[in-house]
Amino acid sequence: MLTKVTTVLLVLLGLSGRPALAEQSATEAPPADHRFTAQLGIEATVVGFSVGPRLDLLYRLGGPGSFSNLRLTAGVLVGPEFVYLPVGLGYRAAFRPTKTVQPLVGLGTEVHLFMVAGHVFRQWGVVYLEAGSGFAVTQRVSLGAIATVDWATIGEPGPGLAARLFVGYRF
Amino acid sequence: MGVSRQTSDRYRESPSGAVRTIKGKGSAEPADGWLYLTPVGTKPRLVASNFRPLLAKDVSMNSSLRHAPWVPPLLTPLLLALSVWTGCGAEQGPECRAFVACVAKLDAVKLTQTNVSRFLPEGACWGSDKSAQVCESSCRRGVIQLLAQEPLLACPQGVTP
Amino acid sequence: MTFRKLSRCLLFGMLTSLLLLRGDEAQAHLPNILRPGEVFQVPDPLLSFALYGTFSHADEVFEVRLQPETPLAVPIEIMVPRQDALTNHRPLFAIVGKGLPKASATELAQLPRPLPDGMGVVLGRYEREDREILFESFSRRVLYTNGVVAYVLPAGDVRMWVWSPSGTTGKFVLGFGVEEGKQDFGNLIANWGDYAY
Repeated sequence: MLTKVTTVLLVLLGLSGRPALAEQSATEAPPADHRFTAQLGIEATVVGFSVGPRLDLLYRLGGPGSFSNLRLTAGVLVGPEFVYLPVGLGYRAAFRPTKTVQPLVGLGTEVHLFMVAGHVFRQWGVVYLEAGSGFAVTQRVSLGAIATVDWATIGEPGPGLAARLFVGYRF
Repeated sequence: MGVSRQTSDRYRESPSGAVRTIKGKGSAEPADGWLYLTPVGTKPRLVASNFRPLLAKDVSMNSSLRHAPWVPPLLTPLLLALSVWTGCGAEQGPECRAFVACVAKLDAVKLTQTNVSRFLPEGACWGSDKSAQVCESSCRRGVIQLLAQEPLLACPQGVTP
Repeated sequence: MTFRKLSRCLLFGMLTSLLLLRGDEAQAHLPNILRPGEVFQVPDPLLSFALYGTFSHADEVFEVRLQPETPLAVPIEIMVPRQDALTNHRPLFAIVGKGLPKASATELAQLPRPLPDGMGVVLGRYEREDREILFESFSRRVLYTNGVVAYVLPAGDVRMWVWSPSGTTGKFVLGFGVEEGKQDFGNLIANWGDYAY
């Protein structure tokens, strides 16, 4: 149910924002062509509690006006019962790169490793959805927040929910 | 999909935090499909692990994916999202066959009819690998429990007596 | 095809496929809360339950009752979160009912309450000094377990008592059955604090 609700929200976000933003981004491209963005965040998982850093590396697909990004991500989160290591690959649509408020949505796939007593205790594959927004501090630096839901599809089924605060840098 | 001893998710851990292993037939405790770790001094050492990279063959729900071993691990969940999840199951295991037979003998003695539907071939035990592993372990110990309760029962135990 | 069109196709194609995932139909234990001094009545012993409780005091006893129409074989285990503070927390359970073996003097001494007349008892046990641990996928928890056992419960009035023999306090989960319930996300969210941490 959570996955479906989030999916619908994601669709609505995409539908409402896309045409205007596409034109906007075409006319208001960033002055410098920064294809890469690195985001370092602090993430907390709500399902299976853990907290820790997560690094996202985004590569813009297409020209300067494109909102499409390839996302590589990895994190190390520590909880009372396990250490959680997510590694993932996904797609992120990041809108309005020249504005103060920069909404983003994305989805993709991750492999989650859960370590207990220093050993990989459990691993599975998930499909995730994410939504959030960045807030520009300078042309290159932004702060932001993202919420993520996921569903384990390889291995045992199970939901996931996490929130993350990040600082981003374009280069 | 049968019950695999390579995909278990249970370990043993000693009170001191060291983890240890008991494995295979003839050990102090019969093998029950779980994986174990062993202590070396005070530092735990992994001697048997269920860890292996996720592979395309893990996607057992979709035959087209099942026959694509070249699919990189990270792409497998993505491809799965493009397929319809039909679920997977396991077959009734030997421990639970033995348990069901033992309960039948108990019923014959007590003139009862115990509901063992969970453990029958079409029961809930075999809906997933995880539940199959839990059931096999519970059945193995269940036979021991039944024999403790009714010592006169002549029940053969499962594959790990 | 431009990148924008490609992006749209990718986004909506994947979203559509996600709608096909039948996550809400996944089978799992139905969670519920146990409170000391209250009796939790299992509504349907043919479904599976994960019953969450917390020992705040050493002398608390939790009680579960069920009424199987016929004798019933069911896996039961007791679990504790695998956390440093709970390493020595080993709650125990007893199954009480007519037709179960008569309690020995040792067992009677272990029980937290006197046995009702005519009822026998089976005590849960910890197989070993070291502890089996497991991963619970729906709440992403790592738990100690006493080792799941398939018990044969008698028909009629069956009670399960959970107590802490060594007087330790902390959380526990009584697992009952196989994964036989459709996940109730409303209940999960409403009681998330009890189930998840």
